[in-house]
This record gives sequence, C-alpha cells and structure tokens, in this order.
Amino acid sequence: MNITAHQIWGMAKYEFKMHWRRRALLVLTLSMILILVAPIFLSGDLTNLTNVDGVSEENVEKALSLSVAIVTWFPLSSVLIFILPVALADTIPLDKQYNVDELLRTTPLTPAVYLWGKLIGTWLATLSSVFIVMIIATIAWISQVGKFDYVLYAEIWLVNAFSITILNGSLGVLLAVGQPNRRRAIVVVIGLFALLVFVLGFDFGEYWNLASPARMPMLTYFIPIEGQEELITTVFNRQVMLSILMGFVELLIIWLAAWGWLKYQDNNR
Amino acid sequence: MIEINHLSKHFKGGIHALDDITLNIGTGMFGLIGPNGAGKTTLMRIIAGLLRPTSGEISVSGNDITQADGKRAMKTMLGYLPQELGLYPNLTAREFLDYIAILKGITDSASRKKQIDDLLAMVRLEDAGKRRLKAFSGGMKRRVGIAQALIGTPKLIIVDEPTAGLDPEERVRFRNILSDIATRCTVILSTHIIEDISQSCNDLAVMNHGKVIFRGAPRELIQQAQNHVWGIISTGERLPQEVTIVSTLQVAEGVQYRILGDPPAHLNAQPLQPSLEDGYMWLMKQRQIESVG
Repeated sequence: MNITAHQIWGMAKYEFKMHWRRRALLVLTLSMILILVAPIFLSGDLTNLTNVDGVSEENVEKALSLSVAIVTWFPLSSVLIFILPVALADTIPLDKQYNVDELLRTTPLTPAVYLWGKLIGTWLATLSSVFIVMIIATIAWISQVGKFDYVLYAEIWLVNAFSITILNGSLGVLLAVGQPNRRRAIVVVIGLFALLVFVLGFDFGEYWNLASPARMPMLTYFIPIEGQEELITTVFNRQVMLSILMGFVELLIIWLAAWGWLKYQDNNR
Repeated sequence: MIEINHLSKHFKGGIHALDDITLNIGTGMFGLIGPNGAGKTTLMRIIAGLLRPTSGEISVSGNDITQADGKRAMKTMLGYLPQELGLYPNLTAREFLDYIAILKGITDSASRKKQIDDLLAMVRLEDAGKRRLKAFSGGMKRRVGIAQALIGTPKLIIVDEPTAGLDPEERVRFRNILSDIATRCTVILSTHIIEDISQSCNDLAVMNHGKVIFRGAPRELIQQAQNHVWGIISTGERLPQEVTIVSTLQVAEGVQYRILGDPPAHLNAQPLQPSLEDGYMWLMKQRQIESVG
C-alpha cells in the first residue's frame, strides 16, 4: 500500500472509532432503532388483513409490503435526510476545537487525503450504524409480519437508506469544513440545509427536485399515488437513480469547494 | 540543516512578528529564548510549515519550504510539539500515537508498534497506553505530546515550551532525552526556562521584537554579563533603581540580592560569576537602554 492510501486508511479507521465513541452517533442509532421498531410492535397484528373477505392473498401481501415500506421509510428517511448531517457537522471542526489540526498539518498529509480520510471514516461509521438498525428492524418485521416483499424492503435499505447516508452525511461533514468549533458547525449546517431544502426547495423545477438535499424522489418514493402503484414496487426506479446520481455530482462539487478552501487556508496563513 | 535568509512575517493590523531574520541552524540542540511576543513561536511555526513568511527564504535540508513540494518533503522529517498541544480525547494514548505514526508515513504496523512501545516507555506511560486521553492529567498529556514528536525518528524536531507542566524529575529526563537525540539531528527548543537551555544547548539565539538580538554559544551570552553581576546583603538599605534584581533571598543577616548593574560602593557588593540567566537579563537590559536612548 502506498503512503497516501495508507494515510487514508489510517484516518478512516480512527475516524470510525472516534465517531462511535462520541455521543452523537450512538444517540442517533438508538433513536433510529426506537422510532423504527416501536411502531412495528405498536401497529398490532398486520397479518389480520388476511382475514378480510374478498381480498386475494396476493393483494394482502402487497398491502403488507407497502405497510412495511411506509412504516420503515418515512421515519428512517427523515432522520437520514435532516438529522444525520447535523449530527456529523462537527467531524472536521472538532479538530480545530481540540487544537489537533495544527499537529496534523505538521505531518505530510495533503488536504485531499485529509478530506478523504475524514469522509471514508464517517461513511464506515454511519453505514455500520444504519446496518445495525436494518438488522434489528428486519428481525422485528419478520417476527411480527412474517412474509412480505423482501426485494422492495431490501431496496429501501440498500439503495435508498445507504445512498442517503453517504450523500447527506457527507454534506454535513463538508458544509462545515471552515467552522472553528462544534457549535458553529451545527448552526451552519442547520442554516444551509434550511436554505437548500425549504427556501430553494419551492418551484425550481425537476432538476432542483432531483438535486435537493431533501432527496424528494426518494423521500416520496413510497407514497402510494393512485394509478402509480406500479412505480412504488419498481426496483431501481429511474427518478430515484437520477436523484442519487445528482447527489453524487453535488457531493463532488462541494468536495472540490471544501478541498479548495483547505488549500487556500494552508497557503494563506 | 536550516537556512533562513531575510525572513519577515507581517500579520494583519501592521504587526511585524518577524523582521528580516537571517539564521543558520546546524545539527545539535538549538535554543530559542526571548520575552513573550518576541516572535519565537512565529519563527518555529514558519519552520514547521504552518505559516507562510511574508518575505525571505527558508530551506530545511535543501528543501525550499515556501514551495509545496519542499514543504511536504520537510514534513516527512519533522517532529513537532506545539505550545498548545491538542489531542483526541476519545482515543487512547497508544491509538493516538499510532494515528500520528500512520500520518507520518510509517506503513509497517510491526515497526509502528515497536516504536510506540519504546516511546511510551521513554515517557513513562507504558501502563497508561490503553487509557483514553481525556482521563490524562496535563503532565501526562505533555508526555504524549513529546512521544508523538519523536515518532518516526525525525531529522528535525521543533519543541515549543516542551517542559511546561512537567514535574522537575520529568523535566530533567526529557531534557536528557532531547540532548541524546540532538547528537544525530537538529532540535529547536523554545522555552522560558533558561535552565533548560543552559543544561542542553550548545547554540542559541535570543529574540526580541521580531529580531535576533544575540546568536552564539551559551558561554558567549554568559560572557556578556561578566563583571556586571553582584551579590549584596542588605539590612534595609534601598537599592538604586539602575540595578536589576535577579533574585532575592531572606538570610540571617538580612536580605541577599543578586543584582545586575553597577552598585554604589557603600553597599559593599561582591562580584559573582554570571549564569546564563544573568547573561540573558543583561542583554535584555542593554537593549532596553538602547531603545530608550
């Protein structure tokens, strides 16, 4: 392994550890488990639907699958889209707050390697958190409902949840790159997200809809619209895929801006 | 090793932290002393690649550190201990040292482990290696800082107030460690503790108002105060304002003063051998007189 790859791997490993040892990720994980698993047990026995007269077994399974999707996706997507970036906002500013950044800048670490190390470590930590939540929620659903559409369910997690975790988590990290401490980082990320989602979110056409950090095509994907039920159960829906693609383009642009800022700072002290 | 030519650093607001400094520093222990705000930390931060000079040239082992490539090459041979050391509170001492070792480019994990074991033993933290840094006292954190500066056998070590917060025994130990390392690399030591310099440095510079006002061996600085250091035992007489009191001690006969300057004959002052601290104080006093005059 060359030195650059080794530095990225090393940073990612310790960033992963530090995220899990701080409170934010732990609280977020427990909150996700609570808001996903509690409704499963509070919603009662959904399999009673099979006893409704005149409804075929196939339609019952469809209804069950949709219920599972909706009950899982809305709380999960809300947390991942809006709360996760705020929880991760202090990832880079904490280095300044702890005064470690001066020490790091005396090592042969480039701004690009620093950003990749931070991002990959954050991805590993947050994806592992979502993975744990997924396992617990899946066990809860199977124990409560039994058979449902596993492909649709897997798509919720592996396509939607995992990609939003990477996209919006990274935005939280990168948007706060210039902030000197945790408090400022959180305020800035909340402010920028509010601006991007709620102010610019209105009537900016399809492209903005796809690029918005609210990830509208994904957020609303499981809302059953009359006459479009087919879409809901289409794996790898085009709008969702486009939204993910736009998200990565957006991420690349913000990464370049963050990298440029770090380079500028490095050259102008 | 380090060549500095006409180096200046100006900050916003018209602050001239460094003013046309020219200095060559070779292998061995190099001491940097001066009052607060003299520019010592700014100079060390420029040598460490943390600040860009406003003008002038600086190279370390032939690498021009005002250029990106030169700076990166210099950082592969640098060990740095800042005045205000920051650590990750949620990592253990061992993990933190491993993290820094990885960033310094030590790719072999067995070699990293060996170095970390040795360094933890050197700073007497081998039993605390698996404890999180947030549970460490100030002195223990300082020792972790010293250990991280020595990772990777650097050719240039810059330490800013390294012994602040250490107990006397640890201070002597660390001084000896640095002196030992300085036989094969360059160590720049900035401190307010003159004793640290006098016990370990063979070369030093005194800075004031962003300029180097003295450069030479400790004995040359001591020599500056020759015939100007006096001992007086006072039983109540007032000392003239022209003399500088270096130390005061209550003794059975009265108050014993160590002074710099020319005491009046009636005080019956006895000449004393100057120390490095006397030399430094005398130099600063002369500069003050010159600037007022």
